[in-house]
Amino acid sequence: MKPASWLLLILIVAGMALTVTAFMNNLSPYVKVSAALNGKKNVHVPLKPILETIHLDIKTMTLTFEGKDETGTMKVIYPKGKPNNFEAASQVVVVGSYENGAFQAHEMLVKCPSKYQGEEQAKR
Amino acid sequence: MTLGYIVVWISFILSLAAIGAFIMGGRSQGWLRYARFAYWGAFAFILATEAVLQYLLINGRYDINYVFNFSEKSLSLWYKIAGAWAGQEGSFLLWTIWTAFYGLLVMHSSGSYQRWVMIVFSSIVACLTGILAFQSPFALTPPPPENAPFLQANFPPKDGLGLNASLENIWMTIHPPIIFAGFAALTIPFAFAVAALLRNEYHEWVVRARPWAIYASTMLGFGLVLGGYWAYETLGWGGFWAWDPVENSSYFPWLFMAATVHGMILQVNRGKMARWNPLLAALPFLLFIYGTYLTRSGALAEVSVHSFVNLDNAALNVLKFMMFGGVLGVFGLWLYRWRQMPKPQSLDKVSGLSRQSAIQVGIWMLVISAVISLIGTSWPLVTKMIKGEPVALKPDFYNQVHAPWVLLTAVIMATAPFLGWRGMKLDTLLERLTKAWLVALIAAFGIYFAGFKEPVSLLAVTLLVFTAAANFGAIWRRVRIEKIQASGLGIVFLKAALFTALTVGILYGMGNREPAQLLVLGAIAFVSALTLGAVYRRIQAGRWTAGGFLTHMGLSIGLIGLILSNAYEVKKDVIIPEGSVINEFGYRWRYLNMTGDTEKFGDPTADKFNRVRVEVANHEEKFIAEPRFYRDQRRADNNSVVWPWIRRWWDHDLYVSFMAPPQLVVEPLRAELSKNEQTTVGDYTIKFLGFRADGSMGQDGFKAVASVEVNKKGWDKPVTLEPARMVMQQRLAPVPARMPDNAMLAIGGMDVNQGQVMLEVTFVPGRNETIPRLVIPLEVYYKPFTILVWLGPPLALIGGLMAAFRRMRDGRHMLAKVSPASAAPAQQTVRAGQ
Repeated sequence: MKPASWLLLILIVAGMALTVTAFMNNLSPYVKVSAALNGKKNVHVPLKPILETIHLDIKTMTLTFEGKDETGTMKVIYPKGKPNNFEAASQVVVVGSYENGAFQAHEMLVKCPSKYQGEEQAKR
Repeated sequence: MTLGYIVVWISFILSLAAIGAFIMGGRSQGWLRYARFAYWGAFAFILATEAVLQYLLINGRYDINYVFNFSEKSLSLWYKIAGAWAGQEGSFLLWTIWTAFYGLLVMHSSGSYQRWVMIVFSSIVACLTGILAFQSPFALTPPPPENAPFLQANFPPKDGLGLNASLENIWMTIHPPIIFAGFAALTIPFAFAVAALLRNEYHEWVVRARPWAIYASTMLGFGLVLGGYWAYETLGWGGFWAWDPVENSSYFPWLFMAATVHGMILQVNRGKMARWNPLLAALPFLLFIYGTYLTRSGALAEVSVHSFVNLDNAALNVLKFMMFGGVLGVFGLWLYRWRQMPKPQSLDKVSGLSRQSAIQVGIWMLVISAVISLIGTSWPLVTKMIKGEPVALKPDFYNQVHAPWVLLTAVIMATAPFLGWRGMKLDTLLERLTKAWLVALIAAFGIYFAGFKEPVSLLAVTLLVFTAAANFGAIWRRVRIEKIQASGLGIVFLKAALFTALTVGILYGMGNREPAQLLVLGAIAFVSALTLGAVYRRIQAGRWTAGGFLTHMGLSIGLIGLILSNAYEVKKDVIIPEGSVINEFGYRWRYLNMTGDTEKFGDPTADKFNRVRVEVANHEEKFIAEPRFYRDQRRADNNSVVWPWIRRWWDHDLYVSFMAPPQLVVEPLRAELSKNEQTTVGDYTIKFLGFRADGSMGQDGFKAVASVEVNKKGWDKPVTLEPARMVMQQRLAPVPARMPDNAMLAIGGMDVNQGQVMLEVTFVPGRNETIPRLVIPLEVYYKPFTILVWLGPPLALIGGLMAAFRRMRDGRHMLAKVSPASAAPAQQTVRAGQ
């Protein structure tokens, strides 16, 4: 084979490897609370916040609460304050991993959130 | 049956008639006349549909569900009009109008293709009006449930819910009409491609469809960009693009359309891709239908944050019919025709690097990105169908995959304008130049990943390798090639390299030290410089071919802006308690007030025009940041809506948004006591004496009273206070008691059976944290060079329109020149097909 072909081949293989790696690294399945507690990392967990356990640390805007589904209950730590309709939410989806005794959520989806409403409204 | 329904149904029936008449049109001119008449009629009634909807919106007919949901009396006329595309049905209507309008344009400019193209077009218009007939914007507002007497009394409603607050801004009036102009334009290349497959003709259609393909990709691309602007300006999460399913489902059709444009260029100029182009040209429309299905049918509802609206069942079936019928029909027809399609002609030998191969690689890049995005977006749906549980894909995936993609695509966009079609004379040299460029890239990657990350050296080495390689190529080229066209090349490359070095130097000087990103930005700067050079040379040569290059330049500039503003963004949480000053970003932040009308709404955040005013100051300047915050309480979801506040400098934006809603917070002194127990909190000594009931149990006004003895240093004697909890509308409301020093004592919680109480002391003098106060949790972004995001896309738009215009003109010349030869067999095919 010509050098150019080799180069092309290498590029293609590298591209595919990168794509597959990135794909695998960014998969985030929807799981139950029990699975998250068992250490499954990088997951979406739909759960219901227990109202009495909701606490907001004002200085850091860290929200902690316990959430439950039919398989169990776990503590959730979310660092970005309390969404407006949080107490009213029938369900929230927390995204992250269970570490150090609590689910560290870096993202939380409350049903009917505000973020993309504009985009979504216009295109639907 | 209201007028609206009737008008929609007539347009539906007329478009069905148009299909029939165009099919019969092969028999006689008379049928064709009827067909055109019917199509015009369908178009007129679609316009009438919009007119009726506008009439209802402007006149506030809130007994119509659509008007009730997306309009209200107090809206300005402009937004009442824009309400016509705020909802599901209205945006379908917008799509239909544009599609039908393009059909008219095509009907009168497609020559021998008229009949076939219009069969396809009328069918699509029939499907869309069919959807509108079932998912009607004219449905009546449903009566409230019988157990809601208050709502019953106000039925039919006198006022609507209003436009969703986040839509009430200027972008709402611009973005949807333009992006739907782009979506609908995808129909034209689709119709030509299907017509070509039906007719078994593979040359003329490309010439006719090419300007439309360019137009479609330009408009859709610009519509996407406008969507990004909208997100940035009004949604408050600090970015332009989030790889959201809704965004993706318009992104992959656009990529396929761009690939189609390049495939058509190859076919017209080089006779390549003739067999693939019909498929490529049909795919964007089909993918858009698929995207529509994904985002509107509720298919992704479970895995998406968004409240995707469910379509009416019949309308959904029409959409599914379009999707499955279209995909099966197009693929089936294309496979069936495969052997009859012309084999690729080799006009002359092309070896090594040429514009042709560069464009081919470019097409691959576009298709790869499109397929990756398509798979990513569909993944939750696919996994849900296979495993029952959806698996989401994080947006980082797209960023990671597209980082190297941008590099490669940039190189291709940079070099393609300088490559000759044949690649014969330039062959060796350009190949070497490219090798040099690739060597530079690989060297940079190699050095970086080997762990040698000291940026200055890495950058210097990379640029030196490249400059050397480019120079070498340019010199070599000048030695070998006599033509003037070539002589500019080395210099242009040199200048571009110099510009790149300068840009990267400046970026580095400004403190951007991430090598991989500097590399990407350098590559993009290089593309822009090269493209600018190419455009300049074209214009000098008096040729009208700069459009494509201008588009590429605009794209790269926009990309630079996106990467810079995203990669080098600095994001800080600025949490401002009322009365405090917070230092962040070199400014002092102090909350001032909210502008919401408290008298009218009670709570300022219930006012749509509420601004949260924050004073921002340092030793140089002082200004007021006024992001808007609004709780939309009329809608069931009680949404909070945020409008960021953006201060722009030439080199960066200061973007002020909310991390969380403003909240009232307090940290009271707490004492948990049993009966006759005593404790000390702060300066207070508190003793709980016991509970007492007041009023009739369970009724409104019933009070559970706690007797508490409180003392404090400096007081003459202890006082006995009686904070309580009172039943009000089935809830226990606190009734605090005032202490002699004006602090408030309240029951935070209690257990009457156990005789336990939790007491809370607030407004304690000298203890600020016990005074309830507002906390404004801001999220502030420093975003460098967003100006480029605004600069690039308009250039790309102008370039795209220029190119579409040029190809339209070229196409007419081509068809006029070859018409005796090509038109005749085409006519025969028509007859043969009957």
